Amino acid sequence: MQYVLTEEQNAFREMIHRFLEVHSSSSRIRSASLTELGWDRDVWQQLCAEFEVPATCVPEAYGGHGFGLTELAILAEEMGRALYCGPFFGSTVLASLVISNGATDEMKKLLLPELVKGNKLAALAIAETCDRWRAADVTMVATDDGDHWRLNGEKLFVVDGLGADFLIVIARCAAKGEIGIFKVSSRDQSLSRLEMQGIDRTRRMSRVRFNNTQATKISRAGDVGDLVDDALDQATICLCAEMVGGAERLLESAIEYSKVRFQFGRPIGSFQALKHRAADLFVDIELAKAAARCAATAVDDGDENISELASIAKAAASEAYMSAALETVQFYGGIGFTWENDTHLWFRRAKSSEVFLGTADWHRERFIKQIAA
Amino acid sequence: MTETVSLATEQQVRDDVRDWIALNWNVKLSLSEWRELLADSGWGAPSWPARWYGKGLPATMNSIVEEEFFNAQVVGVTRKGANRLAAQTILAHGTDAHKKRFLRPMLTGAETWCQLFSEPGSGSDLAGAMTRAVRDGDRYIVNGQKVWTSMAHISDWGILLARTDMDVPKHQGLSFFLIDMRQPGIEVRPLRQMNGHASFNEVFFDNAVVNENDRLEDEGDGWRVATTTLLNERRNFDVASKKHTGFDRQEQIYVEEAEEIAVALAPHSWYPQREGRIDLLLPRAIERGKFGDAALRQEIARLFVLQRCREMASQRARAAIEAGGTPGPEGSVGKLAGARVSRECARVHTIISGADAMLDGVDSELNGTVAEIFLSTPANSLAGGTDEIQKNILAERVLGMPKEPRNDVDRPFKGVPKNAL
Ligand SMILES: Cc1cc2nc3c(=O)[nH]c(=O)nc-3n(C[C@H](O)[C@H](O)[C@H](O)COP(=O)(O)OP(=O)(O)OC[C@H]3O[C@@H](n4cnc5c(N)ncnc54)[C@H](O)[C@@H]3O)c2cc1C
Repeated sequence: MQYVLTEEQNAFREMIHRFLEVHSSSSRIRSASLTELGWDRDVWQQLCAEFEVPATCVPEAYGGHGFGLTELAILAEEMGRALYCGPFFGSTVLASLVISNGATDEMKKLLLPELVKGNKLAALAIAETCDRWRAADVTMVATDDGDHWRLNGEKLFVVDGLGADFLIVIARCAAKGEIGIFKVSSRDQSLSRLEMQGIDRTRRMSRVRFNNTQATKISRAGDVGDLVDDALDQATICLCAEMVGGAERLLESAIEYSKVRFQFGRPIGSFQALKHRAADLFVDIELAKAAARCAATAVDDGDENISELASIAKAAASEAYMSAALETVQFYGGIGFTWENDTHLWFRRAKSSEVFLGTADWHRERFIKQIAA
Repeated sequence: MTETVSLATEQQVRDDVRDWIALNWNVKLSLSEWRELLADSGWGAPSWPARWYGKGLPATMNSIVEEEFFNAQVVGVTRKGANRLAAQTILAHGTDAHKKRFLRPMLTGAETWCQLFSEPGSGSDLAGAMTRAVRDGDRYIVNGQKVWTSMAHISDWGILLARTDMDVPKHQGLSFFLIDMRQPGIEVRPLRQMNGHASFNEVFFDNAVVNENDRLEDEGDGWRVATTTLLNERRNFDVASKKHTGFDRQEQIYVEEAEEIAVALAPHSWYPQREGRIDLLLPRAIERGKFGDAALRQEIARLFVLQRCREMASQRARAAIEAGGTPGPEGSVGKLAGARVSRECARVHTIISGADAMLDGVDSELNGTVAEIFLSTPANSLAGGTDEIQKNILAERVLGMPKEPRNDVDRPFKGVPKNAL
């Protein structure tokens, strides 16, 4: 297992970091999050054109660069640090990973090159209730009317669903109840997409209703639930990387402030109470970071226990990010509780990520059951 | 023995209030007519001196009188703004002229007051206030900024802590003023919180003017006066248990009172959420079908235990204050426990919500209330003195641990390291 990033990986990270510092500054985030779409098309186009972000971990056979999840996680970490709002997580992480893991070769050839170039966006529709993010929990049924598959019902928390050109939908095939992966064009008239108002305005989600909507099955015959879950574990690992990036950014900002803010004739950072809070937080974040990084390289190494590692990382990251958010507000004092101060932008992301793709409780439960089995 | 005496007096006070109400309460009066009558009677502020709109009764009788008013559905004195705090401070430190000029409209609500203490540069370190008041003949010229000022946008007057001398140690260079808020040198801007509400204001002083006569105590004696205000703030906070929300009745006087209360409460509609809404944990867990989850039950039970302990601790503290003591540093126990309840409530509400915790506004459970809990609970670790400050108070004043060495009290304020203005 690779424990530290290579020189190339660090250079890659540095490049994206510098780009996002400018193009995903807090003022850009604030203005983008007020728009209907929720993100800036130009910035996304640049990420595609200059950095070929969506190509990162797609295999070369499908037009990608063939890097691993490690590289995708590096991107996620920087996106999270900068609180980048755009279709990266919805399309490049969630939808692309499900296609890469679960679609047939023919379908990958058809769909991935378009996503790689960035001229098409996809979104993943899987969750149907608020606590269920895995294939086994899916109840939506796809019926075969002879010519086409048809979908009915509702999917929730579809990340970046409003901007997507097509949706990747997880549903059960009518006859045998096997989990399949379906593709639906978002232009389809029978589809309705409604924005779900989120606490985090930098990650848009929607509620999608299917009404006898025509769908193409893109997975092979038989149940592909395991492949979908593999993809979700990989996405969870990327989410953890993103959370770690955000948490690090919060801690940096808290420490920076503690050096320049004076009370009682000294910088507040000189109070041991705050030093210990910062040190505790650093420990939490480093632990979560180690878990996220190792989980990503384990995927690239083809390890077996990915779901276990993903759960460890998510349980750790959920708590580390949320406490980073709370602590940073505390470091700033009253001003940290204001709208004008940027901390709440990350606070909202931390809250939202805490429960996205499975709460810490859910992951702990899954983890302990797996190792007890 | 003491018990019987106070019982007897209590009954006597109850009888007196009832008699007075029976003779004077008239639902047909306007709010201001009634309040004037009430202020002059002394029953509006029973613990104040008889000479100054009070009855000279012990503070313990306040709640007795309030109860009688409430039971008879009689409208009381105003509770808006910082009126009560300002009045308590003026009673302790004002001249007769101040009392004559200001106390009555504070009770009737004819004038609204705000408290101008916290500054962007001085929050935990209140005595580090940098708003300057420079003497100019028989008046002072005020420049600087205050923050977190409730009701400033509708206030007529403010109690102001400002620096009059940079060349003496920080606590000695402060003075305390009563400042007219309706003047061109004062600008009030709303301050928006991270939960989207704008409940407070920033107040900017640009050559604002305050008369020498409107200073309380001597120049340089402002910290002592401010200490009275802060002590009363804690006491009011500790003792005031139930909030008056008006009577749901149609007569004009009740409607007027309800309007006044609504204006005062509107910016603070999120305050219950800030406490964490422990009351919603059980119903939400049950409604969302999660009460069968033993781990969640433990979480909720743990919080209830904490909350009950906290209530009992605060009853003990309240009893000590009502028995005549001053609120001691023990108040910090309640404050810290409260902050802990808030934070833990947010955590357990998250467990109950699952992914629905991602939602806001109308999409969030209980029409946004749950999202508001998540975005409001950090306040309780900050407002009214941060957790760190409360812990320092407990460690140093209650537990008697050695004080932090300080470099800010033994030298002229101008030589103390601080943030640039
Ligand atoms: C919702 C809300 C309502 C408020 N309402 C009012 C109000 O009605 N009236 C009013 O006057 N003010 C009000 N305030 C202001 C509040 O009292 C201050 O925010 C608070 O006292 C902290 O001061 P500060 O913001 O300047 O932070 P700072 O004092 O700068 O504190 C920053 C950080 O440094 C820490 N710190 C500071 N000193 C020490 C120390 N000695 N040891 C260890 N750590 C330390 C703090 O704990 C904090 O973590 C309100 C604030 C909020 C958030």
